[in-house]
Amino acid sequence: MQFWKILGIEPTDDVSAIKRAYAVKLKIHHPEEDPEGYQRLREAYDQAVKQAKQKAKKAINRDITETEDDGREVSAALEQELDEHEHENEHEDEPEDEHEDEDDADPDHPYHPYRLLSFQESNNPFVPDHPFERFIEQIEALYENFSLRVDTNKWMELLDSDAVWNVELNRTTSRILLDFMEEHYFVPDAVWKLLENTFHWRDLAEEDKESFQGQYPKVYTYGIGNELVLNMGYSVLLNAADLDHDVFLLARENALLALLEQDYSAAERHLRKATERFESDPDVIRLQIECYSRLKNPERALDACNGLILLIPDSVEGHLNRARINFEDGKPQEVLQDLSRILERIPNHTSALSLAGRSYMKLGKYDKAHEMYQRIQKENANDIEAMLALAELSAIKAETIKKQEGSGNRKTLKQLKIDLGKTPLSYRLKQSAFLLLGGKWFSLIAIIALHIFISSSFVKHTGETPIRFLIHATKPIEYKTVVSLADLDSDSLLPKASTTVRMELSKATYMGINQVRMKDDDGNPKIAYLSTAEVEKQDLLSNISGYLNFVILDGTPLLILSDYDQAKAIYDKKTIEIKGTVQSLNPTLAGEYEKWKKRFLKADQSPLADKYLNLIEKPASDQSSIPLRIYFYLLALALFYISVFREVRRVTRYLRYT
Amino acid sequence: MNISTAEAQETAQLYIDALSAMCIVGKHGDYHVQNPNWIFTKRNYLRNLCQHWEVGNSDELKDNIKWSLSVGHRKEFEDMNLALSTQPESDRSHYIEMEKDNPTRRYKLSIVNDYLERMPPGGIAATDYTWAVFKCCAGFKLDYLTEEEKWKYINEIIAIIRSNYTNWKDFLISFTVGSAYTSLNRSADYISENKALLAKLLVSPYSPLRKVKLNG
Repeated sequence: MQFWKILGIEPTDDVSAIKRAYAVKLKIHHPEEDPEGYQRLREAYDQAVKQAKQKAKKAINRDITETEDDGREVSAALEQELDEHEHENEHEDEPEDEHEDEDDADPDHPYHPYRLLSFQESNNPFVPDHPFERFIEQIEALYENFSLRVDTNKWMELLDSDAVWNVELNRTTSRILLDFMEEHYFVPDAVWKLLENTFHWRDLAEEDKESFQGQYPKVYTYGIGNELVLNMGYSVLLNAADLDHDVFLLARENALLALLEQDYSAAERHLRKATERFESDPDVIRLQIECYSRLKNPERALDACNGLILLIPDSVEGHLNRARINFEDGKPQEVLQDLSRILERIPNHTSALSLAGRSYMKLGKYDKAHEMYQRIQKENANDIEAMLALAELSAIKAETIKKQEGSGNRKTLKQLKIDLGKTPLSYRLKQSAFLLLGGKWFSLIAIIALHIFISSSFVKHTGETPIRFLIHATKPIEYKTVVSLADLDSDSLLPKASTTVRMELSKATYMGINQVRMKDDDGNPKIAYLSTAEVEKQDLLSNISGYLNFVILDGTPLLILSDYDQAKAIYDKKTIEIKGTVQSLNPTLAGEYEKWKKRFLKADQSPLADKYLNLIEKPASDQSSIPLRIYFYLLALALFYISVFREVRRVTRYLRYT
Repeated sequence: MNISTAEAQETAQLYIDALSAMCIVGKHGDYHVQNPNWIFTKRNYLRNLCQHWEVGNSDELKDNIKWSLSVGHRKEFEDMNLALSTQPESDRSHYIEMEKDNPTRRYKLSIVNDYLERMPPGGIAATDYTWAVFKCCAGFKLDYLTEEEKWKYINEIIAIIRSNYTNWKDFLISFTVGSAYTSLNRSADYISENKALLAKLLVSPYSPLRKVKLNG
């Protein structure tokens, strides 16, 4: 609180006391004799008055009556002093001249009444004939007169004064003007620029932006900050007769601020206040269009558009917004009328071209729509709306051409497909190969390696390649047709794979002997041959595994071990077509036949063939079994194949995507 | 899982495929469009994306998704839109040029200006919603979200999208402008560079956008 010290008084809310102290100190720090001291004194005075005013405002809550009372008190005090002064002058013996200087220097009467300003005036310093006082009076007069206020030349004249250009006074003048403009900020942008060029307030703000913005928010917004959005026109208001300009301008400003805050109802209210006072301001009408559009009130928005066009017949905003409203209302012809006016003057106006394109599409005039969107794309290759609209139009055209016949259409169709993003097949194939190889190179290598490994393991263990192994495994059994005993001769048979034979038997006989699975005395399984009676006696019917038969082939009995159905067929019909394997006769079977032969003396007594036919056992595979680890390799191979197959599917989808 | 939940998820998956198809452009764009699940198998790539989004854990991801749904980039876009649309057309370029000390803001204003009063309703909201869905899927793959949380967010976002957009063309415009607006390179060239991809997305019979309707 240095400023109280500089003024030489205790902190007080009494502005007049502050002024008196200022006046006293002014005699010591004259502006021309002690500019630095004066500067400090002036700043101290400003601070003190500001603080006092703030406190006064808080205390009396902007009670103007009390301020008037104070003013009257001061006036009364003035009158009293006047009276006292006059009274003193009348009665004193000393000549006036001798005391004049003393009066000037007398701290008890530091000021003369005729110097005192009204208490209700601004905080201008109590200094007669001071350049600052003259300057502020001129500024006030300039601002008061609207036609002068908007005239930059007048401001230039005003700023071409000693108060501004005197280096010692400039800083103070700057502050005086800052205070003034903070309360009186409705001036054109050109005036703000002029003030900035003169006083460089931006540099001052940059020293302590927060503080400056706090103290001079309006100056910062209008003059320094880039809030150009708030700068609107003034020249049209010159035509307004009997207009309270500041009331109008405040309503306009509030409308804009409300719009920016998205408080559209408040914006509408302020706009109404503004138009009640003056309805021909294009800026206000433009804000109305914006406001009513956002309030989804097309009728009022349309009225505003018409109003703007009336004021400015070539107004782009007027025609464009009207076109937009008519488009929403489903009136494409009216839309195109407004847009053609804009495009005649500004052929590459993107918004107009876009709306025209949409209108032409609605009307089914695709060629015109195409032209509009192409013009947009020519201005901006990155315009997504134009790009997608052209794609849609190309798709429509392609569909139409496909339905038409004619060889000339093929070329057009090809071009359209390119427009629609179709990439050449060769490119897609190349990309597909890259994707497949690039994404699954490891799997592909593993597949090849596993194939080689499995193949070599197969050959090592089975003597065959996997393919031959599979062929053999899946090959149907070859049955050699046998018609004579000689055919059963092992020399005439093919290598061991061909012990399977097919025969047609006639005059076969069921012997009534059954092959039975039993357990010997030690409990080990054994094969026995029992008669049916024996089998029934021992209750081994369920253990029968075969039935013995024989057939006479080339005069030689040949044993046949068959199943039940075959034995029954032989028993019933004596003939049967059979498939089975030729096996060497074992002594047990030979012994059973001999026993049976003895029982049936009429049976053929010829010696038995040294082979018999086994119709029960499946032909044994002569292939070696596959080791277990091959199965694991095959599983791994399958998994890699699945992985590659999935990628092939993905790539196929990509390939077909045109 | 009952049938209705399974059916709902199947439908939601169609939306996810359609939305995530817009997220990857460039050389593999077409491949990704046709195989939308492929990108979610690339965990390293997803982790890098999360780093870029400054998401390192479950809470950060959820906060990010919530911000996308409540505020998103669309708020700033709309504020700029409002500031420009209240100005006379003749002053807008000058207003943008005054931002020479802030190239990012100047670029964003130029994008907003290019599409002034041409945007679908909702501005660039499609960008916020699409990437929110992508983040849900990515977050699930990286175990930042449970399956239940993932579907809860996705169903909520799909409902919002369907209430704000009636056709895929508007959605695609909204998304693409938003992508240009938020471009770190301050460039919209990716639009012309991916012209074929974007066109096919809209008109190809094989496009995932054809498999599900916004207004159906």
